[in-house]
Order: sequence, then C-alpha cells, then structure tokens
Amino acid sequence: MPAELLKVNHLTVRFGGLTAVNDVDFSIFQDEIVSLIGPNGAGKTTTFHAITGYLRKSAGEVEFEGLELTHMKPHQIAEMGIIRTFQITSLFPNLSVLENIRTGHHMQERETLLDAVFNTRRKRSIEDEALVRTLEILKFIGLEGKKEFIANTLPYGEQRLLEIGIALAANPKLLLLDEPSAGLNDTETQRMKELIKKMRARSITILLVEHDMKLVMGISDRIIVLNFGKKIATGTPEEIRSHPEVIKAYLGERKRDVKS
Amino acid sequence: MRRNRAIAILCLCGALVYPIIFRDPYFLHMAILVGIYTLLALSINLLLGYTGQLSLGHAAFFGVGAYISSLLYLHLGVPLWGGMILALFGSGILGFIVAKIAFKLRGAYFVIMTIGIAEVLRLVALNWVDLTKGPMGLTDIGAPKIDLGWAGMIDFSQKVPYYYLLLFFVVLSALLQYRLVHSSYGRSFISIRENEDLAESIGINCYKYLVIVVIISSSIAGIAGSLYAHYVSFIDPGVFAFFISVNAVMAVIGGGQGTLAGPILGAMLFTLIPEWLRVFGDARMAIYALVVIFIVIFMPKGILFYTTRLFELAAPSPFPSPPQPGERAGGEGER
Repeated sequence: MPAELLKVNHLTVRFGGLTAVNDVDFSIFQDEIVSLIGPNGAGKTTTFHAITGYLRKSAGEVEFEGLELTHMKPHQIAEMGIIRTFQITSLFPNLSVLENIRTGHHMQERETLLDAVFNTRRKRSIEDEALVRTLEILKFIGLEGKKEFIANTLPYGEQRLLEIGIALAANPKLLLLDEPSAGLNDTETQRMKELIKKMRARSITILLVEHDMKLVMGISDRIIVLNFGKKIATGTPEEIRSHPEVIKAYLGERKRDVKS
Repeated sequence: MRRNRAIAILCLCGALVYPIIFRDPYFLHMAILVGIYTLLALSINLLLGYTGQLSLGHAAFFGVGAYISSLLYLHLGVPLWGGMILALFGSGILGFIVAKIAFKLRGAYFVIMTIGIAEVLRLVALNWVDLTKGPMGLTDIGAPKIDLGWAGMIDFSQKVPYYYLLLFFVVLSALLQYRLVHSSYGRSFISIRENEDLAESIGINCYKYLVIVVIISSSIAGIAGSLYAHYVSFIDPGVFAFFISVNAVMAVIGGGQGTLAGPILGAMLFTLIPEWLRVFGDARMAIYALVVIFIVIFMPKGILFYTTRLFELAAPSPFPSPPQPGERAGGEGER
C-alpha cells in the first residue's frame, strides 16, 4: 500500500442554511489519479476550495502528509505542496507565457530584499536556475514555441495548458485540477489527458474534478462520487459505472410502481 | 533593453547639464518641484503600477515626512540629512501600520481608508497647535551647508545644489524600483495586480508583499516630504492635502503606470502643464482639467505608451512589444 498523502475527515462547509459539503471523508495515496465527480452543485469545487484554504471549513479536518492544515491560508497550503488550478481559466493575463510560468516558481526563489536591491550574484544564479526550469516546463506542456506571447492572446486550449504549467512551476506533490478539460474540443482533451498522465509519471499525485466521463473513466485509478454535498460512492471506474447510487444520481430514479 | 538603457543614460546626462543650460532661477525652481513630484509619483507607482492598489492618501506619508524633518530641525537642530533618515523611518512605520490594517480590505474600501488616514493627519496637524503651530505652519526650515574645506562650500539653500540633491534621490529611487521590479519581489507584486487568487495558489503571501510594498512606497514619499520642507522652508497642514495625493496619482496614470519612465514623464508634465497654462489667466485650472480629461480618455495607457508607439511606428522593433500594464484582460482572468 502506498503512503497516504491527503486525508479529509468529516469535511463540512455550510453557507448560511445551505450545507454545500456534508461530512465528506476520503484519502488520496501517493501517485494516484483520483477523480471527484458528481452532478452540478454536488460540492466538488467547494471541496477543492475548502482543502486549499480558499473557504472556511465549518467542520472537519484536512491532513497532508500527516500534518494538519485545517486552519492554514491558501499560500501556506501551497507551500506544503498542494497546488490547485481554477475552474475558470486563471492566468496572469497581461504577462507573457514565459513570465507566467516564471512567476509560478515563486516558492523556489528565496531572494532577500537585499539580494534584490543589490542584484547580488546569489540572486542572479537563482534567476538563471529558474529560467532553466521555466524552459523545461514550457517544453513539458508543449508551449515552448509561444513563450513570448501574452497569456490572454493565446487560444483557449493553450491557456488551459499554461495554467497547468504555472501550477507545475510551483512544484506540487499533490495537484488539484478543477475541470481542466472544460470547454476543450476532443483533440485538446486528448492532449490534456496525455499531460495528466505525464505528470503522474513524474510522481505528482492528482485529484481531478471533471465532467468529461470519457476522460475520468480513462485515467482515474479511483473515483469519488458526491451528490448534494455527500459522498455516495467510491471505487474503481468499473465499480462506479455499475454503482446503483451513482446511476441514480446521474440519471434519476426509475419510476417505481406506485403501489409498492 | 539596451535601447532603453541608452535612453535612460541620455536623459540622465540631460538632467545633469540642465542647470548649466538653464540658469534662470524660475527654471531651476520648476525642475526642483518636478523632482519632488517625481519622487512621490515613483512611490505611488510602486503600489499602483505593480500591485494594482490605488492609494489616494499618499499625502499622509509625504506630510509626515515633511513634519518629522521640519520639527527635528526647528526644535533639535537636526539637519536635513538626519531629518530625512528619520522621515524615512517615520513614514515607513506609519506605512507599515496603515498597510497592516488597510489590506484586510481591498478595492474601494482600501481607497477610502487611505483618504481617511491622510485627512485625519491633516486635522491633527491643523489642531495640535502646540506642536505644529496649526494653520500658521512651520517657518524657517533651513537647508544644510557642507564645508568642503579648500574646495569651498556647498550651500543647499541655493537652487543648483538642491537640484542635484533631488536628482540624486530621484535616480536612487528609480534604480531601487528597477531592481525591485526585476526580482522575485517584483514578480510577486505584479502577480497580485494580475490575479491575486492565482498568486495565493502558487504560494505567494499576497498580504505580506502588499505590506512590504507600502513600507517601501511610504518611505520614499516620506523622503519626498522631507526634501520638500527643506526646499520651500515653510510647511503647513496643506502638505496633507487631498490634491497632493491626487496629483501624484494622476502623474502615474497619465504618464504610464507600471513602467519606470511613465511616472517620471507624468510628474514632469503634470507639474509643467499648469505653468504653461498661466497665459490663460483665470481660466487656467479649468483648461488644466480639460487637458487631464483629454489625456485620460484618449491615452488611457499613459502618455509613455503612445509616445513609444510613435517611435516604434517610425522604426519598427523586431521584437514583439512587452506586456502593457493597465491593459486588463477582458473576462479571462476575472472571476
């Protein structure tokens, strides 16, 4: 059994009277690709927000590598090695592709204010290293030919790849992808799928929120299904495909005989 | 890059020979005022141009710097040098406190908070008569002399030495800004402007960087205030006035926010235009307002952008143009 990376215990998020996430538990193990699925409004993105500190948890705990991160701020959680992307394309729109990824390296750049002001040798060597890594990532996501382009002038599909590039630059142990294939055409989705597999091969564990069932079934090791904020099922793609609760959640309940 | 450096050096040479060509005290006086406004504009640019946070209360830091160094001079005989250092620390500490509180808020709330702080300080200066002499203001704030022995004496109450003193500080803060922007600090500042949520998600502590920016920015504003006080040798609570903040913000936006040359150009134009408009007599300020409106409507990216584009059209650059700040993405990055 591989090591347990993320552990979510009794996670609950309430907005006023509405319980968006209700007592959800799950674990994610090293080098897995896990998908979080469910109908619209099931609480998937809310779960993401809660894990990464963008939303206050009403109850429950989140542990990462055995460390409690329930009360941490988003940037502290990022420092632990959990990096997320956003459901709506989220870039540094007016910066070039290169600068976008360059910015993602922030946590590996331990420059002091004095380094910056006096442009020390130490600072320049940090910068050179970061540039090398940036070019590596550009190649990895396949945007090396576009490094001078301004991010918001890229076609949509490439913007989504760039988002992942930014996240990769932050050196994640666990990567949370929020609907990476939303709005992509078939070829682009295929490209995204290959990229996700390539990241796992680099031993990045992935938690995926996704609506594209072909993609989910094709790459997930395990699937967690949420409905109305509750976890209704968990298992391999095959188990999920035939799980009665899941079918009910997605397709609705078959009308029963009124008398029975 | 190389061309920019050449232009910067050319401008610096121009600034160095300026007092030799223009000996008229009026021209020197205007140049010194431009220098003071440039410092203030650079200070605001660091905050507005790179982190995207609008402060309409920078006069608070300017005024605190002016009062600290004036009071030290008048009561304890501390010369400009010491006054400037303490003004730097005083404004910096004030900036630290303000930022710590104010950045719990963003957007309009932050703007209102900065206006409020400047106004509170203005009222304190107006009413704490024992210390500040209230509306009477502080007078006879002298400038220092440096005795160079046989080489003579530099008297900073003269305009030419003071001009070079200001030039020194303008170059120093421009250099500081350049270095900061081209470091991981600068990238963090810009990431906050571009997309704060994304910045947090890659481990950037936005709150911390915003506080750092305000400390540096307010320290520079404090130095500007100190230099102002020792130049005009008289200050009153007007140093906290709203229009000082607004003028400097206008210089930044009109000149080109998020660039180094933009605020300098802006500070020049927005100090000189009102002077040129003196020929219109009473209608001067009304026409000035029209000019400002014209610039904002037709040159939203700042004068610098349109001037450089003019040159680029004349001699097209082989490289794609760098990202233009102020050019916000429609829809994509917004949530």
